[in-house]
Amino acid sequence: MKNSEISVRSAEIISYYAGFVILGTSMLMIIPVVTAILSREWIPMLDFIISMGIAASLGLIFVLLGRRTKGHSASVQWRHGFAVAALSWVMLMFLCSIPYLLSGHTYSYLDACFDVMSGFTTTGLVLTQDLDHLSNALNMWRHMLTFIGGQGMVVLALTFIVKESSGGYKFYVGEGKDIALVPNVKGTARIIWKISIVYLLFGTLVLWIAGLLIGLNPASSLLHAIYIFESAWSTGGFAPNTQNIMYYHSFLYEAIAMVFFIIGSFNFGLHYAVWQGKRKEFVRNIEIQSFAITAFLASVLAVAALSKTGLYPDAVSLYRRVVFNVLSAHTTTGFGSLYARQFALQWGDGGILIMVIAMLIGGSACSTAGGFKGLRVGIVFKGIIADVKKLLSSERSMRVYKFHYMKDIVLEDGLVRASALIIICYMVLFGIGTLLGTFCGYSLADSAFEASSVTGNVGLSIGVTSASMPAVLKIYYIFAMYLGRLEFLSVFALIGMAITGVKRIWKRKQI
Amino acid sequence: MRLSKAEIIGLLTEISGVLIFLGILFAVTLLFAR
Amino acid sequence: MEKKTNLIHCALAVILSLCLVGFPVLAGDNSVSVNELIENSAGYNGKSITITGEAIGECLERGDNVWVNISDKSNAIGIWMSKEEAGGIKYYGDYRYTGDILVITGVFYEACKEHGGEPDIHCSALKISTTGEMKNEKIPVPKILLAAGFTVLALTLYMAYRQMINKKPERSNAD
Repeated sequence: MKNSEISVRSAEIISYYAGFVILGTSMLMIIPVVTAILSREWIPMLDFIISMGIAASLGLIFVLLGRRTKGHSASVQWRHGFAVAALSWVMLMFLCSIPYLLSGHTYSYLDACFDVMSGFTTTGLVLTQDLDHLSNALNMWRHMLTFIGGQGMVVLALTFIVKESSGGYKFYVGEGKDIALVPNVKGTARIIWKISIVYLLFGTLVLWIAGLLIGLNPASSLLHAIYIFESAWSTGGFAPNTQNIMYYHSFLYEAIAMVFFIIGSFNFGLHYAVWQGKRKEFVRNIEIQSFAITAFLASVLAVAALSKTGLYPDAVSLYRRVVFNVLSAHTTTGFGSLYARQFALQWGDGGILIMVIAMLIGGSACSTAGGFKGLRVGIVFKGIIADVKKLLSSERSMRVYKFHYMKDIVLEDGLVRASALIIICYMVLFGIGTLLGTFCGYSLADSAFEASSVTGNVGLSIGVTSASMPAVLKIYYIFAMYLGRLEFLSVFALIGMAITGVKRIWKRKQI
Repeated sequence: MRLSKAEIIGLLTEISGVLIFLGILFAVTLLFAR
Repeated sequence: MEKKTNLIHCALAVILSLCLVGFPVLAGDNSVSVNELIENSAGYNGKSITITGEAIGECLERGDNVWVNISDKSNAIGIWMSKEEAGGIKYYGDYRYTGDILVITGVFYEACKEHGGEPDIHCSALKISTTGEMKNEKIPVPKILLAAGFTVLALTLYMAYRQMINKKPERSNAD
């Protein structure tokens, strides 16, 4: 009797908090509604009011179903946190895709869900058709999704809606952020938002001015600035154009985007440290070092490989077409300064391989970037070096190996193992994706490129992602983007809890 | 929302750091373009 | 007699091959799509081609020249043309408008040296085949009803939520 009471409680806890996350995100739809009104786009306005109504209703229903949780926040456990994150993301995928469906720019509900998951996970692969004729409201929404997804919907809800904060930390971790910047969770979430808002204002201003300089009119320059900044900062990679960043034909615009997407790929804890005056952190941090090394190597190797083809006549071309894309891939942003097919046709296997590796390594932990994360790569790498040194050194010496990440941390075996395990999970996800691609008829290089883009939440495409792609591949990609972004644990927890819950109910029926 | 002096310097540090990195990469690209 | 026939056959063969080989180069009336250009970028590189597409977004001025991006449903590409040529374009496609359909003749570059390695087209001749127009936005009644309906539902549920918060008996359940 007691057991079933507990399991019912878990469901209620999850429902309660997931409900708030859904409710909070649905409230954000007011922004596209306002955009639609200001742009006199009446049908999109209705689309968003409908979507908002549905989402808010569902969120409230979830909260009401779990209402007994109110006042009992102490009973929230880690697994609940993970499950809430995982469940919210799935529910929100179905709800936030309604505006796309109503707009008529997606061929199916599946395509709409794909685009939403692509946005939330800051991937950036696109199945929406005819981007150049999208309403301002829908464009505002698409780019907002990457910004919100990058920050984290759970983080969002925690900051602004949920009054109780004792269980809060557990939700926070469930969404892939594990840096406790300050003792309390709400404070941490607020700081993340402050840094993002400051950059949002500054970045939008810079892009707006740049837009004016390259020939955009003031109103559209502002909109593009907002979209491109959100996309860069979140390392999403969406743009309001079919040609992505090539629409602007501007080195200046590309360079500014590069600066912001690189900064955006850094750990929030790093921003916080540097903004508090600990500027040395910027150089000593293991992730920055890891990124600087791998990004530099990947760029140089790619430039070497591509300059041999003789395709790009000068340094500026090499920089704009090669370095830009390599960095876009490595930070898992996904802005493309080349057409998708050009990677397949012009880059050769060497170039493609470099991109695949860069995309899988990804950006920093606790940031909007995807991939293995530089932290894990750095830890595993140092772990290997430490093991070799231990082997070679005398048995009497007891050296402690450390690395620097906000503070000096001991390189413990447990830590190395945990990092390596997650890297293995990513590689399995990538491997299955590549295999599935080849089963569907795509070449190995194409399948690997697309699979790494999906697994690392990058968004660059070699041409596989399209509306005519097999549905099974679309579904797998959605699943992989989701799993990759939440870093596996949340989803495993959700699945685990669901299975346990079902088992309990089954057992009760047997008695 | 107020920004303290440290926060502004922090912002500028991050931006300069990245610009320097990008600049070095450009210099290396120039080498290959010969 | 035989020699003459042979000669004629030869000449015909040569002319025919020239036509087939030279066809892409002469491509006067045959439009290529953006995707075709990308798929065979090496073959089309530096050649004069004709392309048809809708002007989208806006005209990006760069001094005496401008960029006009065109979309042909398969993809979009930038056309580099003079300010005067672009002057004739009235409508650019976006949510509200369908842009002018342009027929562009120009040289395609797979990695344009002048423009940082971009694939682009330098326009030599521009013709506006169809003028654009404003799209008719008729608001469908079902959507208005749905919007109203779901708003009412959400508000009702919200009131239920307020009720729930307000009745707060002291629950002394230990956890």
